[in-house]
Amino acid sequence: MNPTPPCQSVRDDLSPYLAGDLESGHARVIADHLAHCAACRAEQAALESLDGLVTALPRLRPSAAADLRIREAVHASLPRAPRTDFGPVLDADDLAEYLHVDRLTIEVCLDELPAFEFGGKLLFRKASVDAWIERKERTFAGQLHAAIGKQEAIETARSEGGVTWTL
Amino acid sequence: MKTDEDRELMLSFKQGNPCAFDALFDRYRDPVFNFLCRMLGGQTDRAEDLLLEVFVKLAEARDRYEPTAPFASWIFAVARNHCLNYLKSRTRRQDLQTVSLDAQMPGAEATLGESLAAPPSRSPAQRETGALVERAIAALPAEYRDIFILHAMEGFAHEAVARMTDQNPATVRTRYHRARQMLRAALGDVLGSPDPQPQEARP
Repeated sequence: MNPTPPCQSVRDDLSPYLAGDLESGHARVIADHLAHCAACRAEQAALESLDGLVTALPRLRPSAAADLRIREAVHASLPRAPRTDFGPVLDADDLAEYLHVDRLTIEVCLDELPAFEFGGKLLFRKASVDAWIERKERTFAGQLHAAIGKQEAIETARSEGGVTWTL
Repeated sequence: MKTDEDRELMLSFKQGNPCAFDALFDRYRDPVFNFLCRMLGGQTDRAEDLLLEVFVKLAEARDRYEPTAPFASWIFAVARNHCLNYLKSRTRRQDLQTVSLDAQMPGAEATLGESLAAPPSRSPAQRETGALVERAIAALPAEYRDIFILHAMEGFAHEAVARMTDQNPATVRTRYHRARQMLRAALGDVLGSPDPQPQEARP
């Protein structure tokens, strides 16, 4: 029989031994020792019972409030996809979104827009709004290109940080 | 394969799909929360705050996500870094003499027994033992605690833990076994009669 190693060195290696992390020769030496040493077998049992206790610890869950808070925080941080699902009738908020302006602009420009009132609410037929857009459509000539040509106008605009439109 | 699904979800989230985030959160909420709670010694309120910060960080970093490493490694690496930074800053705030991460965590003791090991289905004795084990884990130095929790409680292989903690697998393995020995020593009475040979008596 191999000379059996001292108990302490066996105990130092018990954890890797149990996990199968020791190379086979070394593992055999430990196994031999364990076969003959009740005290070290007790240590082995203690480590195994530690694993059992750790595995038996309860799984935890965050509170429902925290769950909601996290989902909302993340959703709020996402860029909102532009809406495309407008129905045939829009309210003022829908119309603002549809036209990429704020609600105040809609309210100020009500005299231009085709609207109808129902149930105390101002509503807009999407088809009428589209027709209104069609009537408004025209080209916009920047005041620069007539004189200096488009390429130069683009470069000028770039250096000045944008074109000033005269609408 | 779970890892592939994670990757698909993360790529979809990267494109701004909020449902993909919800699916990822469903998968990783509890594992990450368990990790954070145990790292913080049972301060569940603080763990919830950190959980929020980890997932907000994930959302902010989604544009930079590259599906080279498994998603689990990524999210746990973020959680661990975040947690270690928090523990470090708390140590600094408390103006302790030592800057080591294994400094005692005041407040943890009070909540450990009740919050971590107290589902009503358990007997008082089981709960008491559970609380002792939780306390022993909380008392491990942070650089052993993270590895122990990730491997023994969250079930990640040493190689995965090595990626998460940016250490080599041999170090992770050694630290895991050392953590187990420390726990065994700390839980002497609970696990049966402590070592009959006094350690100092070694030749």
